[in-house]
Amino acid sequence: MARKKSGGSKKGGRAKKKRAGTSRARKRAKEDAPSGEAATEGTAPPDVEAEPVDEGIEAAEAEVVDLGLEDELDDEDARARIVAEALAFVAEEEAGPTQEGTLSGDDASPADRAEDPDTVAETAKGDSVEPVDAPSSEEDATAADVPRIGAEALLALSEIHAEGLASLPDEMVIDLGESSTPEERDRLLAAAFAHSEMQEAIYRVPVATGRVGRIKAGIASVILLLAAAVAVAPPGVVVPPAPPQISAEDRLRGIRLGLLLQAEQVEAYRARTQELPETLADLPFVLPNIRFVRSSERLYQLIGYTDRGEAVVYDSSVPAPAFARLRPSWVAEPDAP
Amino acid sequence: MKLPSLTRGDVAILLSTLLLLIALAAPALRARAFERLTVRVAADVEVLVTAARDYHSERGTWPSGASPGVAPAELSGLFPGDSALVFDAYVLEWSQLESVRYEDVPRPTPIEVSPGDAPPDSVAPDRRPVAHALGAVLVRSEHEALLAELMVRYGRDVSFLRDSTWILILDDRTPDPSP
Repeated sequence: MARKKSGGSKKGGRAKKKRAGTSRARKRAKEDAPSGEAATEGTAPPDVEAEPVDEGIEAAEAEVVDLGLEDELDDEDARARIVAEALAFVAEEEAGPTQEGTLSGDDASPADRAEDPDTVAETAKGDSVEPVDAPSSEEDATAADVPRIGAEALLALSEIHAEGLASLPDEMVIDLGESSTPEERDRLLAAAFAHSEMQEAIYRVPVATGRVGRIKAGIASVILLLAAAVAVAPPGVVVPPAPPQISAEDRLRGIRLGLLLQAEQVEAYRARTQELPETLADLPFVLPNIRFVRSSERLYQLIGYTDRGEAVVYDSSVPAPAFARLRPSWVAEPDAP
Repeated sequence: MKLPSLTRGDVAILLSTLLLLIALAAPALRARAFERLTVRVAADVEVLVTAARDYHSERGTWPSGASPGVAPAELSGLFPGDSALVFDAYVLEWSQLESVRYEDVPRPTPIEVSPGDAPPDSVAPDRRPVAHALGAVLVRSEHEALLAELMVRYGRDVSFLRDSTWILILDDRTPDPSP
């Protein structure tokens, strides 16, 4: 774990040095500026920090602006460093007045310690935590797999909570009006960084890369292919008995029964009127797709068609045997009792 | 609340597994849906058949025919509305048909003839076709399996398929065709 965590990239190393320079610049600015002016400087948010209060701290402020915090916040390593260094700085600032009684003068004490990666990490996380940012080129390859930002952010957050420096609800509220000292402002800045890191660590979806990611992608692809195969041709185990289908025989039988039923309507009409209808429109009930041909005063043909266009003919004079074989119960035979 | 951290690979596996489960369950779900549909249409047909038979047993005639989806006027109390017989996957229709029955007709009084030319003792009665009313329930649907299921339930003797219509013939001489 320590090995992975220590996989801070070279970029992280560069950011670290840059930030260490920033710490020194801040200290220089504090040395040069009266306390009231420093307070005025600190009330501005980080991105407008560059506004000079007086010429004495202008150069230092320019270095602060050069940090490009917004850009580096997009970078995981940089964010981690920002949090760690900010916490280190706060810790040192707190330790400074009590041990040395002053914040000024010693360029080599807090800032240089912040410049040292191991020292920074130790300072940020306490003795119980392993150093996280010892640069190692051989570990750079595995660094991408480690959600180190989230872990560091949460660690920083827990430290801040433990020290009672700030409370971090979901909605971070920074009341700059009460931050009258540089130390308080630095605490608030560190708390803000830690809060944003915590939020990002909570809601970030880690991206699987490398071997594990490829394995997962392969598994997902296999399952997806299996799902497609099952959808196209489901195995018999999961397929219930198929519902009944209309067979070609059923269709032909339906056509013949339809012709028989229509012939019954014609015969009933003839029984009532003693003559054949002129067309099927004279009947009260007509099935669709049946053609009526009246061949004489007494004879007629009814013609239906199959799906393939083949004609099925019912001849009133000599019905085909297929019609006689159907014999539905609702068709009476002339010689029936 | 801290959400579980899922990589894209994890999400892909989850989604694929979900799709696989859906694909496995789909045939059974379709079968269940079809079964529910057949039960529903059979119940609707049964209600119409029962109402028509009751009407026939009381009045001696079948209800008059009506347009598809519209209940016959005589049964409008049971099926109120202009489209009381229109449903999601099918439309019911009530029709009155006719068929021919042959009835015996008494022969005219035989002509007196001399004993030597006496006709045979038994003369077949004269049979004449008489129009006779039938009732019919038609179910129109594009769902062929539904129509086939109805034909299986009610039997091929009293029902048949014609295009996209299943036709059930009700005859007072035949027993109740209820499945």
